Amino acid sequence: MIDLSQLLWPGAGLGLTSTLQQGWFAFTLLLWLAAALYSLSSQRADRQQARYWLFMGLCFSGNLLLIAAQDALSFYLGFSLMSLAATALVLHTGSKAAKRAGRLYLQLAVLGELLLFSALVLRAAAAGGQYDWQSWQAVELDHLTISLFLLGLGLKAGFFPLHLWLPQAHPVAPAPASAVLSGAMIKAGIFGLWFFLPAGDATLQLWLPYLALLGLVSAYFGAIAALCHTAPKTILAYSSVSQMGYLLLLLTASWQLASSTPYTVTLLLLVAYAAHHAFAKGALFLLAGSAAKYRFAIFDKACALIAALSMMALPFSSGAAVKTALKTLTAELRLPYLQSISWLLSLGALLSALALWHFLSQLWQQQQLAHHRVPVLQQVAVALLAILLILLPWAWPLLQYYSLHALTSYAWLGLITPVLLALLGYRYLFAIVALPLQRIGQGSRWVFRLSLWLKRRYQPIRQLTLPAFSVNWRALRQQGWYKALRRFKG
Amino acid sequence: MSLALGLVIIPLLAALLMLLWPRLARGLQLAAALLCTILATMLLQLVQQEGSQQLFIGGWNPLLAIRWQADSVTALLLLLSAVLHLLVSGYALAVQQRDKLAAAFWPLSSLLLASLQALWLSRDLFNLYVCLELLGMVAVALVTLSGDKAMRPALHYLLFSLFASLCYLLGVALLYGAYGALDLPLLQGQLQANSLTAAALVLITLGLMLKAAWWPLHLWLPAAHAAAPAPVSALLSALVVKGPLFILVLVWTTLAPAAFLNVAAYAFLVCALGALLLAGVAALRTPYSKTLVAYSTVAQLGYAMLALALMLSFNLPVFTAALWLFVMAHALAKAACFLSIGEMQQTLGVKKVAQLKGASQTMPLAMFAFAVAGGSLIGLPPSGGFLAKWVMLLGLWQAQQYFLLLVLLVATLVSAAYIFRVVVLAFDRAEPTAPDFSPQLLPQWLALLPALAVWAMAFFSMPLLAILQQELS
Amino acid sequence: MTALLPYLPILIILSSLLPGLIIFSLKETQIKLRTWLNMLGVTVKLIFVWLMWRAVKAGQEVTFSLPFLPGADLVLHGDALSLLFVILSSILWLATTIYAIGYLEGSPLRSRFFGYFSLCVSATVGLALSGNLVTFLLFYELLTLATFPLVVHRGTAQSLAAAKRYLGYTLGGGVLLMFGVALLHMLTQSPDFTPGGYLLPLVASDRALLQLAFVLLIAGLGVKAALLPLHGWLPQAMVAPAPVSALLHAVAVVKAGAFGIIRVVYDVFGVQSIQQLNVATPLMLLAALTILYGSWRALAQQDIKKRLAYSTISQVSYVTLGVAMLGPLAAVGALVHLVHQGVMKITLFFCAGNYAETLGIHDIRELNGVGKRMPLTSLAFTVGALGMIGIPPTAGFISKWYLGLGAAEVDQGWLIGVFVLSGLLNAAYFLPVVYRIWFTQQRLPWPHPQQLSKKLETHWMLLSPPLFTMLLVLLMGLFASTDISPLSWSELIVEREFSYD
Repeated sequence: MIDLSQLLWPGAGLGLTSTLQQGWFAFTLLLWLAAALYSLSSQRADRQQARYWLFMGLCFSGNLLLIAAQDALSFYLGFSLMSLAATALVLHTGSKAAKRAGRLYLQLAVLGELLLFSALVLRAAAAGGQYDWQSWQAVELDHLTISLFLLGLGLKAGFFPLHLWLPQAHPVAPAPASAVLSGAMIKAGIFGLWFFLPAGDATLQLWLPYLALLGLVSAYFGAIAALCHTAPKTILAYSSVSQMGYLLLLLTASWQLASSTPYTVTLLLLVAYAAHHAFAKGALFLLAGSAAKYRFAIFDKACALIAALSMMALPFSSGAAVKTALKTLTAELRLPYLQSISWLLSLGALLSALALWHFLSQLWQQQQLAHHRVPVLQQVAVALLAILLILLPWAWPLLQYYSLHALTSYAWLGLITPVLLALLGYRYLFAIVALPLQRIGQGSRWVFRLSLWLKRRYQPIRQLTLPAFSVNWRALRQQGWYKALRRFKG
Repeated sequence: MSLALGLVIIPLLAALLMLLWPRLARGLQLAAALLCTILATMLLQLVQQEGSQQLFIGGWNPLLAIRWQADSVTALLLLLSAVLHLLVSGYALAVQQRDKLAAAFWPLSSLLLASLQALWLSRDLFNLYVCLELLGMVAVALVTLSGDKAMRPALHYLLFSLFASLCYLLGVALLYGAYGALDLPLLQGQLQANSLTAAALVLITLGLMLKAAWWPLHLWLPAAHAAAPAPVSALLSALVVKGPLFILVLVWTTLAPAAFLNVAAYAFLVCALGALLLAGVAALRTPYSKTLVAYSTVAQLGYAMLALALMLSFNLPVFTAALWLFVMAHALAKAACFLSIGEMQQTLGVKKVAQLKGASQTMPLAMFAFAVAGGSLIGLPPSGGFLAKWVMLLGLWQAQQYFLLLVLLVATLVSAAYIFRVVVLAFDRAEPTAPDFSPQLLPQWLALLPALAVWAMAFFSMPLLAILQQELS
Repeated sequence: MTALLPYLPILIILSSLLPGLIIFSLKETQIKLRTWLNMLGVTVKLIFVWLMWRAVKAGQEVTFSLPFLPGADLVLHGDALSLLFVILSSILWLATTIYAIGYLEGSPLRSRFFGYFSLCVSATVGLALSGNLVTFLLFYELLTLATFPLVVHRGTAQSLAAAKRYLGYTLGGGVLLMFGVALLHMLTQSPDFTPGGYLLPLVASDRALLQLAFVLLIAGLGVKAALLPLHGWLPQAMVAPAPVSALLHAVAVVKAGAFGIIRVVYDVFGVQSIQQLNVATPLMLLAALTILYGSWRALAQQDIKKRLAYSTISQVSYVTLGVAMLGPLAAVGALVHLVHQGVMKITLFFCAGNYAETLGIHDIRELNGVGKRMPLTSLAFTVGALGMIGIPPTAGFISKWYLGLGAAEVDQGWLIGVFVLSGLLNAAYFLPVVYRIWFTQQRLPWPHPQQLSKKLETHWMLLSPPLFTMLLVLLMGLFASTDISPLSWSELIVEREFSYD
């Protein structure tokens, strides 16, 4: 750990001290690497290339900084650097949709930032002026701080109902930017929740059932909403909302089990889930970007299938391992009104699979419109992620256990059924509901209207002002007070 | 005491010699003024060391002789008038050719100084009357130096002055008839609180108020001061109106029976409020620059009145100090104001305030002098005006006069308004009034000098207050 | 060197006063001499300030006094707090002088301008160094007088109106301050500023009078600090030339008010007396209201400088708010914000001046795409704006952080809400500007483009000051814990101020 407290602020330090940080750092770095590779090809013709790389660089450094932070302020520094720089990525194409989405993103990002700020202030005050992670672990939480953290970081993580910006911003950003946005940056929200909320806290424990419920709702909502849209990147964005719900669920589970199961194991599973999602979602976003311009070769299609099936948790894939782990961990989770959530998870898997089939079908349709082959560099980037995805469950001893566990007949069946059901369902039944669902999807424009309304409030042309008067002495003598007072125009 | 005698005789003699040899007038004027300044300084030192000095002219006993007394306040006033006279003489010398200053200015101003010095020294009601009368006559004569246009204001001034003298004389006669003495120290404590004394005091006060241009009896002042040539206005505003004020303070602090003090204080207070607020507003509204300064004199005299009123009703030494500090600060500041405004009027050839537009570019020094002097009139630290106001503020807080504090606040703001009315205009860059001829530096510096002096006054507050304390103890 | 020590305060003042007076007498054409004098003054002052900084850091206190009024000498006193302000104004004076030389190149009446400019800085430094209330009052009024010609410098009808308004407000405030000072002087004379105040013995006997005095002092200082009902002059005064606005908003005038409030609260009344007098809460509410009001009004301003002016109203009240909270952490926040806000706001004003001078841009709507034409200026503007919102790693974040901690410390959690709301408003009026600068295309030709430099985007004298201050904003935000950072210095001050008993 690098101690910077003499230089920056008390307690300032950087380092990868916990396993969670190490793992998180590793997958984030890899995803960024792939995105950068992809950008080399995709942004080649970009007139604003310099700006693109500048802000990608800023986001990248912010993202890594917040993971390596050992104290609250370093985290916040990285967090805001990343959040604000990402605005430029959302805005990058300069289209009308990008501007709209950028505005919404920025509004919510600033809001989240300030909410996080106030949460941090309250926490630092409670900790007696200490900012380092270690000392915060021992300080008790209160409800206000927890809700501020949830709102502030949730706005970044994008789980329901704080997801508003996510499906709008991801589709308009350049593909590699969406990949890192979805794969790495929004996870900073979950990472932050882990970072700032000590697991053993009694007040936090009271929140856990509701958080788990929120995670589930988010998972369902994201998957269903994904079906309401046709643009591949939008579908992926909603799928991210859904996946963030699972991550939240996993985080909640790890908090709840912190006392019984070894905390590090559950945390590693959290990392594994995040890494799995990062690679898969990253690959899919990159592929969606390619599909908008190029026709897929078999190789690309294979990569898309690998990533999508992995997300659907087909046995042998990383998804299977992490889903099994999720099921095991959440088995003991107590939700309000619900006895067990394992069947809920299965239903969720079905919905997820539906969404991904939907995505694949849209992707297939989209890529058929183009003629050129996908450039090699883009393929390399996608391939890198696909390979990582394949390797993940087998190269990592911890996941190996769950991967093997997923291969037992009972679990195997449980995993493959939703995928097949979804395929069948999508193939034969989706056409019936497609149109109504799309109509529902169009309803999400209210977000923009809200954002615009807000903009008009904070960028008013005129404001109510109190009248100011000046006295005209000459008129005072001749015409009395009434005439002498003139409206003052300042 | 020969010093005091010299202070009166030298200018008198100089005036006579000037009449005899007009060619030597300027030299004589400067020499006399310089000599007076030196003598006054020496006198001040003497008084500081040995306490107040008395002189009985003719060497008779106090009953018959005319009593002169040089206490610390008198010494300060003597020095002040000598210095200002020297300064104004210098200024007049610098501009005499350009402004075609009449030759009569030199003897008349010397005579003015002589009568003023005599007035500061006298402690005898009749002698004071003589000085006052002489002062008034000379002042009227000086106003007429501006030529035909000044005749009307000068005539008004003369009539008011004569009427005022008459009132004063009548009052003095009543007192003499009743108590058989004119010498102030002798009369001290003798006066009974009866209707005759009351009538006499009212007459005396009325006359003096008229002469000192106290609101609401100030009507002659703005016109007369505005019409006179700049050096004359400076002398009139800075010194001449202070003469009657001095007598008034003497009469009310030494003669008046205690029973009358409250009523008088109340009356003075009302006048003071009127002066501070209404004359200030008048200064704010007048279109002519010199009239503005003249009204400001009326307004500023309100502070002296206020101090006098407070002196009479509260037995706090701070108010006495405030009074004389006001007098001194105002004299210096007002001299600078009139000289600088006069200089600008002459050079730019304009009379109205609005025509001073852009003066900070055309005549930066004169404008600076006006602004600096104005700062003292407003009471900005560290200036003499601030010192006086500060002392008065302390007294008012001590006496818990919240209403008067409020009035003082408003009055300060009004004075700031009329000063900056001119100053702001001076920074207008659009079409500045072009000077008729290239501005002269020396007169502008001479105008700046008293302004700087009044700011320096604040740094001598300790010795000044010490001198004034000496008077009180 | 030690023999020089007692004279340092007066030398620091004279190092700008004397060049100023000489500059008055120079002819318009003596540009070299004037520039040389200016730079000499700045350098000498910085050397003196550095000497004093060393002494004060070592625990020495530097006092210089002249007899002035009875019971109140003219005391110039260098302690940690005064030095904070002195260093701020000296360093920013350096930047502003360079900027002003570039900005006014070729314009008339420069001797007058630079003369008053130096006087203004002398008054500011004097105010910072003043060791008792009467001395403070003196420099406070002198500051008014010295800044007035700068505000009115352009001599247009608009600037005349602004100057009148400025004078009306500030002189009024000055008079109120004078009344308050006189009241306190009547009660206890005017002893030197002491940590912990000197009025505690009187609280029991003269409660009402002390409350009145506090109100008078705060009203008088509040005019310059632009507290809510008294802020009217500030948005108008922005018609002054850019270096003047920069100085006015960042250092000289508004900071004088804020600094005065700090002095009055900590060194005249003292935290304990303020608590017993129950006067902090109204001040706190007023400051909070001003923060929100200023930000809210800034939203609708389309003139760049006017928007910045309203932003100043809001930002300066952070200082007042921090002081009114009466806690040590909040005090650190307030003190450090005094410096941080100054540097950030001066950056923004420099940039606004650059846009106006180089391209003739005054309106925010004309800024479209200016980031391409003037990237460095725009970068500085962006950093300044982010600082105002309080985004790390800018200096603004540090001060806001400490203010927030202070609010939590004294159990006024709702104030964090105020900070958040104000941050949102700040973002709402700064980020759209930043967006215009970087992300929109230029539609109309620039209003009055000038080629001020062959290689750079504008004259180097206009470009280097904002870059310098921008760098300061980042450095102060990043290296907040180092020994020479304003934060450490503020902590030192607070340590000394709060450890009186």
